[in-house]
Amino acid sequence: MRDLLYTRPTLIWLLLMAATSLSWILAAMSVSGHALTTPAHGGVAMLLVVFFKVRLVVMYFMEARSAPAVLRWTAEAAVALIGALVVVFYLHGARLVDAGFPVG
Amino acid sequence: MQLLPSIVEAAPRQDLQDGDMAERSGAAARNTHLPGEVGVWGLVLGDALLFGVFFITYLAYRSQDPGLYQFSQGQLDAHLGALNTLLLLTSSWCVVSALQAVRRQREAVAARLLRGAMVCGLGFALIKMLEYGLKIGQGITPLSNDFFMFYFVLTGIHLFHLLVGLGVLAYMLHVVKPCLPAAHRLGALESGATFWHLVDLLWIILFPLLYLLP
Repeated sequence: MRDLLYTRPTLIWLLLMAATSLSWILAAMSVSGHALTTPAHGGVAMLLVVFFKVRLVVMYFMEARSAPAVLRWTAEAAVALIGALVVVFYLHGARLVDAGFPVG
Repeated sequence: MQLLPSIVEAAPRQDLQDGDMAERSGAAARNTHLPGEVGVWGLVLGDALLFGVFFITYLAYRSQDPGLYQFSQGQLDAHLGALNTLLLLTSSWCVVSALQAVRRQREAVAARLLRGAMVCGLGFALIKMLEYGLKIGQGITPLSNDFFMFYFVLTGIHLFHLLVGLGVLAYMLHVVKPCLPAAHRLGALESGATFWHLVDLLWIILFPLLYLLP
Protein backbone atom coordinates (compact mmCIF):
# COMPACT_ATOMS: atom_id res chain seq x y z
CA MET A 1 0.00 0.00 0.00
CA ARG A 2 2.90 2.32 0.75
CA ASP A 3 3.93 2.32 -2.93
CA LEU A 4 0.45 3.65 -3.78
CA LEU A 5 0.73 6.41 -1.16
CA TYR A 6 4.17 7.81 -1.96
CA THR A 7 3.34 8.86 -5.52
CA ARG A 8 3.14 12.04 -7.54
CA PRO A 9 -0.71 11.98 -7.56
CA THR A 10 -0.63 11.94 -3.74
CA LEU A 11 1.63 15.01 -3.77
CA ILE A 12 -0.74 16.72 -6.24
CA TRP A 13 -3.74 15.80 -4.05
CA LEU A 14 -2.04 17.36 -0.98
CA LEU A 15 -1.29 20.51 -3.01
CA LEU A 16 -4.92 20.72 -4.18
CA MET A 17 -6.23 20.24 -0.63
CA ALA A 18 -3.84 22.93 0.68
CA ALA A 19 -4.81 25.40 -2.08
CA THR A 20 -8.52 24.82 -1.42
CA SER A 21 -8.06 25.33 2.32
CA LEU A 22 -6.06 28.52 1.70
CA SER A 23 -8.78 29.96 -0.58
CA TRP A 24 -11.39 29.03 2.03
CA ILE A 25 -9.44 30.77 4.83
CA LEU A 26 -8.72 33.90 2.73
CA ALA A 27 -12.42 34.15 1.78
CA ALA A 28 -13.45 33.78 5.44
CA MET A 29 -10.97 36.57 6.39
CA SER A 30 -12.43 38.77 3.66
CA VAL A 31 -15.98 38.21 4.93
CA SER A 32 -14.94 39.03 8.51
CA GLY A 33 -13.35 42.32 7.38
CA HIS A 34 -9.72 41.13 7.52
CA ALA A 35 -9.06 41.00 3.77
CA LEU A 36 -5.37 41.06 2.80
CA THR A 37 -5.99 42.70 -0.59
CA THR A 38 -8.57 44.72 -2.49
CA PRO A 39 -11.59 42.63 -3.60
CA ALA A 40 -10.57 42.75 -7.30
CA HIS A 41 -6.98 41.68 -6.60
CA GLY A 42 -8.18 39.00 -4.19
CA GLY A 43 -10.71 37.73 -6.76
CA VAL A 44 -8.16 37.54 -9.57
CA ALA A 45 -5.66 35.77 -7.29
CA MET A 46 -8.37 33.30 -6.30
CA LEU A 47 -9.27 32.60 -9.95
CA LEU A 48 -5.62 32.12 -10.94
CA VAL A 49 -5.23 29.57 -8.13
CA VAL A 50 -8.46 27.87 -9.28
CA PHE A 51 -7.24 27.42 -12.85
CA PHE A 52 -3.83 26.29 -11.63
CA LYS A 53 -5.71 23.60 -9.67
CA VAL A 54 -7.75 22.70 -12.76
CA ARG A 55 -4.55 22.30 -14.78
CA LEU A 56 -3.08 20.02 -12.10
CA VAL A 57 -6.20 17.82 -12.25
CA VAL A 58 -6.14 17.69 -16.07
CA MET A 59 -2.40 17.02 -16.37
CA TYR A 60 -1.80 14.65 -13.44
CA PHE A 61 -5.14 13.05 -12.50
CA MET A 62 -6.57 12.81 -16.04
CA GLU A 63 -3.04 11.96 -17.27
CA ALA A 64 -3.15 14.42 -20.17
CA ARG A 65 0.52 15.08 -19.42
CA SER A 66 1.52 11.72 -20.90
CA ALA A 67 -1.16 11.72 -23.63
CA PRO A 68 -0.48 12.25 -27.35
CA ALA A 69 0.57 15.83 -28.07
CA VAL A 70 -2.70 16.79 -29.78
CA LEU A 71 -4.72 15.85 -26.69
CA ARG A 72 -2.28 17.39 -24.25
CA TRP A 73 -2.14 20.73 -26.05
CA THR A 74 -5.88 20.80 -26.70
CA ALA A 75 -6.38 20.31 -22.95
CA GLU A 76 -3.80 23.02 -22.13
CA ALA A 77 -5.49 25.42 -24.58
CA ALA A 78 -8.99 24.72 -23.20
CA VAL A 79 -7.87 25.37 -19.60
CA ALA A 80 -6.03 28.57 -20.62
CA LEU A 81 -8.95 29.82 -22.76
CA ILE A 82 -11.66 29.22 -20.14
CA GLY A 83 -9.41 30.61 -17.38
CA ALA A 84 -8.62 33.77 -19.36
CA LEU A 85 -12.28 34.34 -20.27
CA VAL A 86 -13.38 33.89 -16.65
CA VAL A 87 -10.80 36.43 -15.40
CA VAL A 88 -11.69 38.94 -18.16
CA PHE A 89 -15.44 38.64 -17.46
CA TYR A 90 -14.81 38.93 -13.69
CA LEU A 91 -12.85 42.17 -14.17
CA HIS A 92 -14.67 43.70 -17.16
CA GLY A 93 -18.08 42.00 -17.27
CA ALA A 94 -20.00 45.29 -17.23
CA ARG A 95 -17.96 46.72 -20.14
CA LEU A 96 -18.43 43.54 -22.17
CA VAL A 97 -22.19 43.69 -21.59
CA ASP A 98 -22.15 47.35 -22.67
CA ALA A 99 -20.23 46.28 -25.78
CA GLY A 100 -22.96 43.79 -26.66
CA PHE A 101 -22.47 40.59 -24.66
CA PRO A 102 -26.07 39.36 -24.32
CA VAL A 103 -27.77 39.35 -20.91
CA GLY A 104 -31.54 39.09 -20.47
CA MET B 1 -13.53 2.68 -30.60
CA GLN B 2 -11.18 0.37 -28.73
CA LEU B 3 -7.71 1.84 -28.70
CA LEU B 4 -6.26 -0.12 -25.88
CA PRO B 5 -4.75 -3.19 -27.59
CA SER B 6 -2.33 -0.99 -29.52
CA ILE B 7 -1.52 0.92 -26.33
CA VAL B 8 -0.81 -2.27 -24.43
CA GLU B 9 1.48 -3.44 -27.23
CA ALA B 10 3.30 -0.11 -27.25
CA ALA B 11 3.65 0.06 -23.49
CA PRO B 12 3.94 -3.24 -21.62
CA ARG B 13 1.97 -3.50 -18.38
CA GLN B 14 5.04 -3.17 -16.14
CA ASP B 15 5.76 0.17 -17.80
CA LEU B 16 2.32 1.50 -16.84
CA GLN B 17 2.95 1.38 -13.14
CA ASP B 18 2.09 4.98 -12.29
CA GLY B 19 1.07 8.33 -13.65
CA ASP B 20 4.70 9.11 -14.41
CA MET B 21 4.83 6.36 -16.99
CA ALA B 22 6.35 8.62 -19.60
CA GLU B 23 9.20 9.64 -17.32
CA ARG B 24 10.01 6.05 -16.46
CA SER B 25 9.86 4.84 -20.02
CA GLY B 26 12.09 7.62 -21.28
CA ALA B 27 11.62 10.22 -23.95
CA ALA B 28 10.66 7.66 -26.60
CA ALA B 29 7.49 6.71 -24.73
CA ARG B 30 6.50 10.30 -23.96
CA ASN B 31 3.15 11.37 -25.45
CA THR B 32 2.26 7.85 -26.51
CA HIS B 33 -0.41 6.78 -24.03
CA LEU B 34 -3.99 7.94 -24.51
CA PRO B 35 -5.80 7.47 -21.19
CA GLY B 36 -9.23 6.07 -22.06
CA GLU B 37 -11.28 6.44 -25.22
CA VAL B 38 -11.16 9.34 -27.68
CA GLY B 39 -14.97 9.64 -27.44
CA VAL B 40 -14.80 10.22 -23.68
CA TRP B 41 -12.24 12.97 -24.17
CA GLY B 42 -14.53 14.56 -26.78
CA LEU B 43 -17.37 14.48 -24.26
CA VAL B 44 -15.14 15.96 -21.56
CA LEU B 45 -13.92 18.78 -23.81
CA GLY B 46 -17.44 19.61 -25.05
CA ASP B 47 -18.81 19.60 -21.52
CA ALA B 48 -15.97 21.78 -20.25
CA LEU B 49 -16.53 24.35 -23.03
CA LEU B 50 -20.29 24.37 -22.34
CA PHE B 51 -19.62 25.02 -18.65
CA GLY B 52 -17.15 27.73 -19.74
CA VAL B 53 -20.06 29.50 -21.45
CA PHE B 54 -22.13 29.10 -18.24
CA PHE B 55 -19.31 30.60 -16.17
CA ILE B 56 -18.89 33.74 -18.30
CA THR B 57 -22.67 34.17 -18.61
CA TYR B 58 -22.90 34.05 -14.80
CA LEU B 59 -20.11 36.63 -14.48
CA ALA B 60 -21.77 38.91 -17.08
CA TYR B 61 -25.05 38.85 -15.14
CA ARG B 62 -23.12 39.33 -11.87
CA SER B 63 -21.52 42.48 -13.27
CA GLN B 64 -24.99 44.02 -13.77
CA ASP B 65 -25.91 43.86 -10.07
CA PRO B 66 -22.81 43.04 -7.98
CA GLY B 67 -24.45 44.15 -4.72
CA LEU B 68 -27.31 41.67 -5.04
CA TYR B 69 -24.94 38.83 -6.01
CA GLN B 70 -22.58 39.61 -3.12
CA PHE B 71 -25.44 39.76 -0.62
CA SER B 72 -27.00 36.53 -1.92
CA GLN B 73 -23.61 34.78 -2.01
CA GLY B 74 -23.26 35.64 1.68
CA GLN B 75 -26.36 33.55 2.38
CA LEU B 76 -24.60 30.38 1.17
CA ASP B 77 -22.66 28.20 3.59
CA ALA B 78 -19.09 28.35 2.24
CA HIS B 79 -17.98 25.76 4.82
CA LEU B 80 -20.26 23.13 3.26
CA GLY B 81 -19.04 24.11 -0.22
CA ALA B 82 -15.40 23.80 0.87
CA LEU B 83 -16.07 20.46 2.55
CA ASN B 84 -17.59 19.23 -0.70
CA THR B 85 -14.49 20.37 -2.62
CA LEU B 86 -12.25 18.40 -0.26
CA LEU B 87 -14.50 15.34 -0.67
CA LEU B 88 -14.31 15.46 -4.48
CA LEU B 89 -10.53 16.01 -4.46
CA THR B 90 -10.17 12.99 -2.19
CA SER B 91 -12.43 10.91 -4.42
CA SER B 92 -10.27 11.87 -7.41
CA TRP B 93 -7.15 10.75 -5.55
CA CYS B 94 -8.88 7.42 -4.79
CA VAL B 95 -9.68 6.95 -8.50
CA VAL B 96 -6.12 7.81 -9.63
CA SER B 97 -4.70 5.42 -7.04
CA ALA B 98 -7.18 2.72 -8.07
CA LEU B 99 -5.89 2.96 -11.65
CA GLN B 100 -2.32 2.64 -10.39
CA ALA B 101 -3.32 -0.38 -8.32
CA VAL B 102 -4.88 -2.07 -11.38
CA ARG B 103 -1.71 -1.41 -13.39
CA ARG B 104 0.19 -3.23 -10.61
CA GLN B 105 -2.31 -6.12 -10.75
CA ARG B 106 -3.67 -5.33 -7.28
CA GLU B 107 -7.34 -5.42 -8.09
CA ALA B 108 -8.52 -5.91 -4.48
CA VAL B 109 -6.82 -2.64 -3.43
CA ALA B 110 -8.27 -0.93 -6.52
CA ALA B 111 -11.78 -2.07 -5.57
CA ARG B 112 -11.36 -0.66 -2.04
CA LEU B 113 -10.16 2.66 -3.45
CA LEU B 114 -13.10 2.83 -5.88
CA ARG B 115 -15.50 2.19 -2.97
CA GLY B 116 -13.75 5.05 -1.12
CA ALA B 117 -14.33 7.33 -4.13
CA MET B 118 -18.01 6.34 -4.16
CA VAL B 119 -18.36 7.12 -0.44
CA CYS B 120 -16.84 10.59 -1.04
CA GLY B 121 -19.19 11.14 -4.01
CA LEU B 122 -22.22 10.07 -1.99
CA GLY B 123 -21.07 12.38 0.82
CA PHE B 124 -20.97 15.25 -1.69
CA ALA B 125 -24.51 14.46 -2.87
CA LEU B 126 -25.83 14.26 0.70
CA ILE B 127 -24.25 17.60 1.65
CA LYS B 128 -25.65 19.19 -1.51
CA MET B 129 -29.15 17.90 -0.70
CA LEU B 130 -28.73 19.23 2.86
CA GLU B 131 -27.77 22.63 1.42
CA TYR B 132 -30.77 22.67 -0.91
CA GLY B 133 -33.03 21.68 2.01
CA LEU B 134 -31.66 24.45 4.22
CA LYS B 135 -32.13 27.06 1.48
CA ILE B 136 -35.65 25.97 0.62
CA GLY B 137 -36.44 25.87 4.36
CA GLN B 138 -35.38 29.54 4.51
CA GLY B 139 -37.76 30.32 1.65
CA ILE B 140 -34.92 30.62 -0.89
CA THR B 141 -35.73 29.06 -4.27
CA PRO B 142 -34.48 29.48 -7.87
CA LEU B 143 -37.12 32.17 -8.28
CA SER B 144 -35.85 34.28 -5.35
CA ASN B 145 -33.42 36.26 -7.54
CA ASP B 146 -30.97 35.87 -10.45
CA PHE B 147 -28.13 34.71 -8.19
CA PHE B 148 -30.16 31.86 -6.75
CA MET B 149 -31.43 30.93 -10.20
CA PHE B 150 -27.78 30.50 -11.27
CA TYR B 151 -26.94 28.76 -7.97
CA PHE B 152 -29.66 26.11 -8.28
CA VAL B 153 -29.28 25.59 -12.05
CA LEU B 154 -25.45 25.37 -12.12
CA THR B 155 -25.14 23.23 -8.98
CA GLY B 156 -28.11 21.13 -10.20
CA ILE B 157 -26.44 20.41 -13.56
CA HIS B 158 -23.23 19.59 -11.70
CA LEU B 159 -25.12 17.31 -9.30
CA PHE B 160 -26.58 15.49 -12.31
CA HIS B 161 -23.01 14.96 -13.61
CA LEU B 162 -22.01 13.68 -10.17
CA LEU B 163 -24.88 11.16 -10.07
CA VAL B 164 -23.91 9.92 -13.56
CA GLY B 165 -20.33 9.75 -12.27
CA LEU B 166 -21.42 7.58 -9.33
CA GLY B 167 -22.96 5.20 -11.87
CA VAL B 168 -19.67 5.24 -13.77
CA LEU B 169 -17.78 4.43 -10.54
CA ALA B 170 -20.18 1.52 -9.91
CA TYR B 171 -19.42 0.25 -13.43
CA MET B 172 -15.68 0.64 -12.76
CA LEU B 173 -16.10 -1.42 -9.60
CA HIS B 174 -17.71 -4.12 -11.75
CA VAL B 175 -14.99 -4.17 -14.42
CA VAL B 176 -12.06 -4.03 -12.00
CA LYS B 177 -12.50 -7.78 -11.36
CA PRO B 178 -9.42 -9.72 -12.53
CA CYS B 179 -11.56 -12.27 -14.44
CA LEU B 180 -12.07 -9.74 -17.26
CA PRO B 181 -9.43 -9.22 -20.02
CA ALA B 182 -6.77 -6.68 -18.97
CA ALA B 183 -7.14 -4.58 -22.13
CA HIS B 184 -10.90 -4.26 -21.66
CA ARG B 185 -10.52 -3.39 -17.99
CA LEU B 186 -7.84 -0.71 -18.40
CA GLY B 187 -9.67 1.06 -21.25
CA ALA B 188 -12.94 1.14 -19.35
CA LEU B 189 -11.30 2.19 -16.09
CA GLU B 190 -9.32 5.01 -17.69
CA SER B 191 -12.41 6.31 -19.50
CA GLY B 192 -14.45 6.20 -16.27
CA ALA B 193 -11.67 7.92 -14.33
CA THR B 194 -11.50 10.70 -16.95
CA PHE B 195 -15.23 11.40 -16.54
CA TRP B 196 -15.02 11.37 -12.74
CA HIS B 197 -12.15 13.90 -12.80
CA LEU B 198 -14.32 16.15 -15.01
CA VAL B 199 -16.96 16.15 -12.24
CA ASP B 200 -14.20 17.15 -9.80
CA LEU B 201 -12.71 19.95 -11.90
CA LEU B 202 -16.09 21.52 -12.70
CA TRP B 203 -16.75 21.82 -8.96
CA ILE B 204 -13.24 23.26 -8.42
CA ILE B 205 -14.39 26.22 -10.57
CA LEU B 206 -18.03 26.41 -9.46
CA PHE B 207 -17.21 26.55 -5.74
CA PRO B 208 -15.23 29.83 -5.78
CA LEU B 209 -17.47 31.39 -8.45
CA LEU B 210 -20.65 30.88 -6.43
CA TYR B 211 -19.41 30.86 -2.82
CA LEU B 212 -16.17 32.82 -2.48
CA LEU B 213 -15.54 35.43 -5.18
CA PRO B 214 -15.31 38.93 -3.66
